[in-house]
Amino acid sequence: MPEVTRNTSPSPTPLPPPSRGGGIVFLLLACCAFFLAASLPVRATAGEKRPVEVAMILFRGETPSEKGFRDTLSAAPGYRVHFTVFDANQDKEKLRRIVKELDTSRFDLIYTFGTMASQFAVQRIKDRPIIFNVVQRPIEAGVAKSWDSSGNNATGASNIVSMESAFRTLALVMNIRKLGFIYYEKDPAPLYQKVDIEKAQAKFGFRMIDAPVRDRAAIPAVLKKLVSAKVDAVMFPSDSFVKANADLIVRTLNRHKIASIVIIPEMVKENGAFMSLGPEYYQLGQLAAQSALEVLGGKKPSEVPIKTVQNLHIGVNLKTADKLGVNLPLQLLSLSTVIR
Amino acid sequence: MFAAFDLSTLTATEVLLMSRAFLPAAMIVGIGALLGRWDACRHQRTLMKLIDYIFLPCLAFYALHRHPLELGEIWQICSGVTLVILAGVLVGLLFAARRPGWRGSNLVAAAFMSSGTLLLPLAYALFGSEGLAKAFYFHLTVLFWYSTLGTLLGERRPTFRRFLATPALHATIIGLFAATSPIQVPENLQEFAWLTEKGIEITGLGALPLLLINFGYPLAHLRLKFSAAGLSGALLRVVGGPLFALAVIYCYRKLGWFSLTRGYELLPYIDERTSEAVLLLGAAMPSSHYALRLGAGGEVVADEVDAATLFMTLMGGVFSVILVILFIDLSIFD
Repeated sequence: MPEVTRNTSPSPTPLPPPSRGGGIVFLLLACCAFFLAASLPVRATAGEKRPVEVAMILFRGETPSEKGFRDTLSAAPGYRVHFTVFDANQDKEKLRRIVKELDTSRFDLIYTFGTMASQFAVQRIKDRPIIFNVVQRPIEAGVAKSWDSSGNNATGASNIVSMESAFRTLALVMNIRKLGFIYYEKDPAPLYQKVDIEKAQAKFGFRMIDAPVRDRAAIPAVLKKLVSAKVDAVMFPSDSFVKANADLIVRTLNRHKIASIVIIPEMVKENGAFMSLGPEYYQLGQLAAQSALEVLGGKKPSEVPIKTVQNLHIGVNLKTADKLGVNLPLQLLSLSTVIR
Repeated sequence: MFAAFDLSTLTATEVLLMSRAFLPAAMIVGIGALLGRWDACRHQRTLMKLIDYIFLPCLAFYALHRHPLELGEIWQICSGVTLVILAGVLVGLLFAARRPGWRGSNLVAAAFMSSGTLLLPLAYALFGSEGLAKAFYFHLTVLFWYSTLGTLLGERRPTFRRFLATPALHATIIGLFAATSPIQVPENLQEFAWLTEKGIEITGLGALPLLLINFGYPLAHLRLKFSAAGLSGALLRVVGGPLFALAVIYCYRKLGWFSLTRGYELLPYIDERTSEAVLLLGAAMPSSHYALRLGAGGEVVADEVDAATLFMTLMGGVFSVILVILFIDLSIFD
């Protein structure tokens, strides 16, 4: 079981000083302990585990990727890992404050989730290795110089998805003529995906309907625009804002029999999205942990290439498929995680 | 080479999806048989014309106009079907050498499968538009061999010209051209193009139940006779067919023509498994209706021996198709 401390305030609270009462009793106990220890056979120190302190900077709480990261790191022999979680709770300003006020000297590794947290961390933290995770476009986002070498103190795992592969998979279940793309306009990450979708338009014979969202209040109007445009499906980027409002968006789309295609796999189970076409988050966490172990083993973060998953993970919600009237082919089902 | 055929690994979702494909298809065939009985097969020709000239071409276009043209895929399916048919014909000729009643259209009924009326709807219901596109390649290959080798075996003149005039073949060519053509529809015509495409899609999908009805339509008028020729023909069709297809798949995998490598891109893997599945499913289909027509000299209902083979393959097909679908799910889409 990994050791976890959850910290909601930016800087950790200092521990209280030890009490002075009962000094003689303490001295006696210490002497007893010393003699007892001296009488026991000496154990080898080679089996001792190296303590590692990890700060986890999260934007929208914990996802399966953090579990994958924690499980892999905790299971690694030779390390006793303690995790301290700093969750921004989807507040950009709070995230900025966490990164700014973090006492990095307390930690051996800094783990960041998502593009925004990773960007802030790379800009601010220079004295500790940063292990980023779920950063779709690390190069374009300025988190790394290249896939092989970040050129800085960061490395990690990317949830990049081949749009070509995603559209070909989608073509197995439906013909798309109009595809809506809904995203938070203040988040830079979805814009890279938007460029990819625009490039795929001619090849796959569809037209993208751009649907940027300014804030939560603007969502109904954006959805109305998509419904009246008679889109066949709406694609969601790996966007925390859209994830936070997925219930409202997906419910409306399902009511109008519009398929929702997501990158974040949890949205299929939690929000009833029709299909997810993206890497499995738990596996991404495992990959990020492998990078962390390489860094702990003595490599510089810039020497550790950015990792991506080997297989596209497909998730399908059977109930939503029924609502939409989509016929799920057997071969797709055999490769998918099916939510009933 | 193939994953273990372990029924305990079958999930409820898989059973549900397979039942959703198979049971409605069986019901529609039954409805077709009832209609045929009530109508005394008077409307068979009208139904066939509607399918051949309107619905099936629309289905061919719908299946292929967005399907990437891959020569490797066409080669795999067409050569696979050819080998399965030739193996059936060869074994059939060996039977025919011993039994005089086995000649002619009965040999066609044993070697040729129902690729249009049954395979197309089932392939779509089970494997989606990807399966439908592959089933079209399968169907056209069967049509080609039927119109050449099949008619010769049926002691009639080859109808290759009729094959070239098949509307579904033309629609396939147009669909493939649309899929590969670099010509872009102008922005102002795009809505109109999509509306046309939607109309073709609706008409094409409407072909699926009609094909099943067309299969069931003459069944009520089969003159049943459990002849030995019927039984052996049926065995060759529904047992021999899938076994020949399995042998072809095994050889293709050994030769590396069907790759088993899974990369980041899952599509090539899915694609190859779907080709195998269509090949196997197609090979397990009951006898072709063409054999009936051939035996009846162009009329709808054939003579007793062909009818017995068709009837027996239909009965056996219920089990063989279910078994093959389970095999596909458990051992091919492992």
